[in-house]
Amino acid sequence: MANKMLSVAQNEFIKHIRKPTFWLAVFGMPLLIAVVGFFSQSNNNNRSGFAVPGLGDPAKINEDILSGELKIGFVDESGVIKGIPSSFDPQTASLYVQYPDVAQGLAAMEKTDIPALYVIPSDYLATGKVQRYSNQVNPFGDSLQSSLVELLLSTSLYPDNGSSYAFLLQQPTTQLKVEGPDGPINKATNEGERMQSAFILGMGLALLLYISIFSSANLLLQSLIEEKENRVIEVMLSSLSPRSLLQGKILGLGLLGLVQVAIWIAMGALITGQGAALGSMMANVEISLGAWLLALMSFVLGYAMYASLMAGIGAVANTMRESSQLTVIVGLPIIIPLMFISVIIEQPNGGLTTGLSLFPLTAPVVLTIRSVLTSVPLWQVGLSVGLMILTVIGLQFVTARMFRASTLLRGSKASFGAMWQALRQPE
Amino acid sequence: MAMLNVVDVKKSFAGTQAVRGVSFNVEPGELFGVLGPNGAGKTTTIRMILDILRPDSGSIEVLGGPMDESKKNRIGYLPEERGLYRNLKVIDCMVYLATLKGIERNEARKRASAYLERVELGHVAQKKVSELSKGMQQKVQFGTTILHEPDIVIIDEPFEALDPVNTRMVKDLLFDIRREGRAVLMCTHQMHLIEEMCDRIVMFNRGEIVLNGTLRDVRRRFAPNAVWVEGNGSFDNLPGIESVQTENGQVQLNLQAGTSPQSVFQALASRGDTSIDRFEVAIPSLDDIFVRVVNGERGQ
Repeated sequence: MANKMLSVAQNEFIKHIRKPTFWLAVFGMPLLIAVVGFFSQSNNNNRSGFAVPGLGDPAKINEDILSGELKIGFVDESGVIKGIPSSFDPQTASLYVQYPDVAQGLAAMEKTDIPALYVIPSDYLATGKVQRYSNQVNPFGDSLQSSLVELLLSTSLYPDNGSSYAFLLQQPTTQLKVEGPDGPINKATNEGERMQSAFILGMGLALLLYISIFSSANLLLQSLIEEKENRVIEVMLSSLSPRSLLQGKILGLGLLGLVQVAIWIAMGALITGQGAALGSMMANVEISLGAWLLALMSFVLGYAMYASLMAGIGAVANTMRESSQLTVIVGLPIIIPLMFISVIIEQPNGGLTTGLSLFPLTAPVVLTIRSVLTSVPLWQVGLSVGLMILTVIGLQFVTARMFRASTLLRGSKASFGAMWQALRQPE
Repeated sequence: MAMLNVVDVKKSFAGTQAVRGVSFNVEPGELFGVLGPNGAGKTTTIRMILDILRPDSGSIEVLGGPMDESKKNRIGYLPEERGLYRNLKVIDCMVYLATLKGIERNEARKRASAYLERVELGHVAQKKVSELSKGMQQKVQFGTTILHEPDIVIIDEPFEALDPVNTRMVKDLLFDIRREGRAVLMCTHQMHLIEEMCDRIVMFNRGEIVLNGTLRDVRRRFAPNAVWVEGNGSFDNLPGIESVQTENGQVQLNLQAGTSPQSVFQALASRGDTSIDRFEVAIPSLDDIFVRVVNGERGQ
């Protein structure tokens, strides 16, 4: 039976990968994003005072400065900074708060006097690395603060021209490489970086799931509905079981979805040049092998769950139009973790987070984020993975029966009665 | 060992009994006909044999035991409504469906090519299914049914859309299967083909089997005890004749109980004013029997 399932998978994969529409989608989507991005960038470049990388929008900086929200705490162990440079205007100079040692800096951070502490270590000139501590989560980075630290360092190192935009354009961030400390100093170690990575990993997984599922789901639905319409399904079911048929389709189209996503990621990294940056950022945070494996397992199980649900829709729907509404409803649970992302990140062992990581339809994303952020109790990992596996089995059990019942219905909707009757019959 | 043994099988859909206690068997080397009006339960029964549907009660034995996944490889199925991938090349479609019957891909390709040559479709192997005529698609579909050399071939309206030449071609293939000791279960509304090809038949009506047996037996049961005569002269006032009916130049002499066709023939032959061009014991066509059964007759 495995051979037949693989035959179905192979056929689905080859059939769709040969279609021009598949390649149109594969290359069309990034192209569209690139075009939109290009015009957006052109628009931004036309705005005055917005051209310096790493410094962000001066207007925004001013807003933050005026509101008093921006404070840069730092400890200089290298001796590079000899006070706030005189070239800084008083308003800018007032942003910097220097602490004599890390302990006092961290204490200030704990009291929320400063949002983050930058430590310029004694070997800074040799390594170019600065350590950053923060309790706050800013998933989109702290480039503004880091840029201001860079400005301070650059001006201190090159007092003649370090603060000019032209100089920063030539040597933008090469002297500053923010990283978390090598070992934990206290509770406020590299939590911020970990949270950032968890967020990105979770978002990435959710998006990967979403794209894989919805690009594959459409193909799966098309395939099932086409086979129902042209009656191939009857020939198929005389050759293999509904379960093998579904598993083959899910496998084949899932691989197709992964190919599509892989191409998109590669193209995205290539076009934007962000691949190295992303890799570097992720490398800054130590994510255990176990967490990576759990993420991979969560992805596979998540895909299997949602693909089975989509196949179920394919079983009961007769047309793509009928299926589209159901598809949106079924896809909703993937969004739930994103709605609660701040709670999940701030309280990775909280009740809501634990619950979401145990609920099979949200578990793939939430469990992955938790495993990066915290040490998830083993029993919870086991229970979550177990529930996901059971859900996959259960969904395939139900879907295969629904499929058998609805296969022979043509042009009419599968009634609840017929579905119930099908569920009660042996496979 | 029967190739197929269906015993008291029942199936309902939403409270409607589609199949009501159906029993029959198909033997090796047999061409078995299944007749019945639309909605009589034939296709539902076939789907239960194929394990596409599950019976509510009763049993179905295939090749000596219950149906399982491995036995699906030993059955070929041609559904009434054709099922081919319209956007695939003919050869690819055939190969794929053969792999689902357990045939290795290269072997399937060889067999598919050989089959297409035999049915004079070698030139369309690389064309898409959708580019073929209905008759060609039908021959391709038939090929997918027999490519894996099944022990049991179940075919529903196999001659649909085929011209006489192609009908002959497919008939020859079916006769080959029978000759090889395999079994064919054929559903069709083309009664003349059932008469010409089948060894035994069952007839469904309203979910039940209302006729079951050899063609000869079935016809005898519905024979009207009459003779058909064509010729010149008078056919009236013959001894042992109950009534005389004339239609399209053919005269049907309905015999009284106890009168033999032979005695009627002798009586006619002895008449000097009557010449006989044709004399035949009246045996109803399957078509007639079908209509009569559907109208409620059960035969004698």
